[in-house]
Amino acid sequence: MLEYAIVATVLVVAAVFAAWRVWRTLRVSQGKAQGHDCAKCPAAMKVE
Amino acid sequence: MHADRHTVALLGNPNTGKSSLFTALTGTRQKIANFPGVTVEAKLGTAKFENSEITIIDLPGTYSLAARSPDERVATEALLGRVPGTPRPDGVIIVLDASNLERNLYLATQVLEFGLPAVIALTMLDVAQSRGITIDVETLGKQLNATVVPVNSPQGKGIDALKAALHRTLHHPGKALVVPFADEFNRSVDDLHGAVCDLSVKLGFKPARPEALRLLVDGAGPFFDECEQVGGAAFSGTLQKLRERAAAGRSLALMEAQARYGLIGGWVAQARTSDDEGKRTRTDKVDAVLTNKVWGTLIFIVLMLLVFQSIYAWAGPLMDGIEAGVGALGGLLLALVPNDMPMLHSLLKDGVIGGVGGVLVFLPQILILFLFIAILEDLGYMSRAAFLMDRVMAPLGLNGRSFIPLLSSFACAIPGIMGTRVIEDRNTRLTTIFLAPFMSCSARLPVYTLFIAAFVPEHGIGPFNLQGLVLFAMYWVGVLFAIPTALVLKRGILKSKITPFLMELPSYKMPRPKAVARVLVERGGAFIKRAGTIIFAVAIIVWALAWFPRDGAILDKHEAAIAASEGEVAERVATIAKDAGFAGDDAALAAAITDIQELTATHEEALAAAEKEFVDETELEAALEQRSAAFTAALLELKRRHGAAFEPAQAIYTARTEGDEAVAVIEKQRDGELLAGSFLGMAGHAIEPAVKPLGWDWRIGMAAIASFPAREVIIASLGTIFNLGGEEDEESESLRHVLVDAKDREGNPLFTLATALSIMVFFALCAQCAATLAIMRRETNSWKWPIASFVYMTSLAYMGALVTYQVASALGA
Repeated sequence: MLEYAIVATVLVVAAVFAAWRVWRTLRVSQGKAQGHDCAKCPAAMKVE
Repeated sequence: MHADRHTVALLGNPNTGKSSLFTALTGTRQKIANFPGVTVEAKLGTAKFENSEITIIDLPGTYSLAARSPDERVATEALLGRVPGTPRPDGVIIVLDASNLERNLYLATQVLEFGLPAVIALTMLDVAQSRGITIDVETLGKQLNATVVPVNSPQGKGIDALKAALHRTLHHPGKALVVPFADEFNRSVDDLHGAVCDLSVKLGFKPARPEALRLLVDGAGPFFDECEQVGGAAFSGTLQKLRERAAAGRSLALMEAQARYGLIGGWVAQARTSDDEGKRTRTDKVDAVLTNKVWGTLIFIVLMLLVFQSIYAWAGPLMDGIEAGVGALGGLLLALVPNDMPMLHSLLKDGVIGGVGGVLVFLPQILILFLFIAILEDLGYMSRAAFLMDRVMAPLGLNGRSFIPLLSSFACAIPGIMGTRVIEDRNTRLTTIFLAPFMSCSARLPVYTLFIAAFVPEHGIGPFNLQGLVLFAMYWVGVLFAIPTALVLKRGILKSKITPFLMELPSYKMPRPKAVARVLVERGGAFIKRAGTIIFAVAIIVWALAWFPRDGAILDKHEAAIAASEGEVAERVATIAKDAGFAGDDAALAAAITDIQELTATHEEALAAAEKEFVDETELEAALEQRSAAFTAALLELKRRHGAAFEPAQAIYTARTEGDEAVAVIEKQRDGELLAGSFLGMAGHAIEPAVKPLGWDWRIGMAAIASFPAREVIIASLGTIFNLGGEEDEESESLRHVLVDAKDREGNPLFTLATALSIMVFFALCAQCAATLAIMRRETNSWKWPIASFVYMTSLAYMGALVTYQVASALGA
């Protein structure tokens, strides 16, 4: 029983997180959320 | 209580130390101001001096007030106080780079024409001095009719003097600079100013004379659009006539430049002295080689080759270390799970450790790549690379403005796509956005390195390693496909003319360890964060889809088979012992079995070590023979020591080993059948016919599909799927080895070099990044572009993988 409870909790958390990411990605795509801050992004290559 | 409140605009060329001056003036009292309708933003900060509070607007760096895009018009609008929510400046601080005085003064002449009280902040004096340049600050101030204050923001020098000068200047009205243009030119500006002032009611503001000057010279841009909208064809006609009259057959832009540089030349001649006038600086000499069409390109290619070689040469030991660390941590975690919880055990082992742990192993490679990028960036080399590539871009209808976002996309396409905002031409911008995901982002690196390390031999080709060369080639796959894509777009639906591109090549400087370290920490942190969030979530979901439903009939069938196999072994062992005259629990017999077991294990380890140690075949054969002889001698010694117990002990050991192998085969079959019957297996089998021509089986197909939200997920998915399918190697938990040992249904190796190349080409070309598509939608304000990109790139990836697999297989790879 305990095993099922732990696995179910992990699965629900992962699914909710994934759903939230999908929702946020859609909001970003419509410009309703910041999503990505270019100035702070460590991936942005700075070419002076 | 502050008696005085003022607002001042801070303006200057890019890379003049403007931002550090802003920070030195305002400290931490800053906020970001977004300008409505445009994408650029300015910082607002407050500087205090005696009883004055000065709000400083740090405007985006610019070389001129000429505006081709709304973003470039912001500086003029802000100077005239026309940006809603941003106060009208009472004065202006113009930042001048002392080492590049002429070019910086060009913007200064345009700003001073507005007649706002101005103070000049002279930066980079140390750089100028190192080049033997001396500036007479007082003379320069007299020429410009403004106070010039030398500043060194990082050292805090001159900041108080600048504030004091500003305080004094703000209480005196400014006098507009008059640039000596030709009379006809000036008359045309005046007439045009009159014409635009007639539109002021409809425009909602009274245009300034310098705006009319810009309109006359540029003949286009956002201010022209506004005027044309309210003034219609009549206005366009007037502008055209006045432009023709002012130019009198010459280029207006050239006339403007000549007048301004003529004025600047006079100022500089009086205010600047140089020890080595006309001598080339060290940077100039280095640039003569690094930006040379032939040598520069060659050096660029060799440099990139070295970077990719280093990724393989250096990452190995670090990866082994992380692998061992992940393994040890996994062992500790698994020890906490009771034995009667197989599902939780599998979730941890196959989902979390096999999935997320497998991704973390690639951290060293990401860090090595970014170590080089950070060093080259800080050195100033990246600008030279952009300059070199500008030549390559021109035939494609793109220019250096497109190159910088594309270069940035090699790290991540998202900032690359956002960086296209600097491109004023809509069609060029759309083309660049469309091309950005083709550049091999850092998320593709783990995919390449996994398959290259597993399936590409470690041969040396000249001074280079084949693995490094293949990695280098993978980075070019996207570029190769981007070129025809750009040609088709720019010559077809997104046709436009090429606009000039001006880029500054900063002086070379020694890379700062702190700046490099910061990039590595940020980059490594972002990678770990991704592994711990989105990759973790997808790995758990993939695990659940591959675990459920559990078919009871399959479990029962294999449990019965395992029990039967174990019973058979027990029976064989009992018979051997009985036939030899020993009781089942005889101590002498048990001791002999243990010794044989230990000796065999040691021998197998010695063989494996020799295989790793010797590359040369003759040497390896000799080593293996030597070890086998030692094993036989040790075995004979055991036989002498254990006497009558030795023979039955050896037979029992063999029976048990065979029994263990039989159980392992049954378990592997069981795991394979359970995976095939899972939700993931069912979906996988449905798509298998589509991926079969690429050399993939359903497991690779499903891992690739799971990677559409984010491409690194494939590492975690492959780890989970192959571990759950019973493919993991007992001795090594590394995904690399699991993939090498994986078999297809017929028992042949699942992955060949052709399969690995096909997967890598697919990942190089496929649009597997939901975040990139979302940003594309936002930046283009339409779903048309992300959908087109997704369909185009995915089709291209499929075709590319298909051709790669078929050709590589035909060549015997």
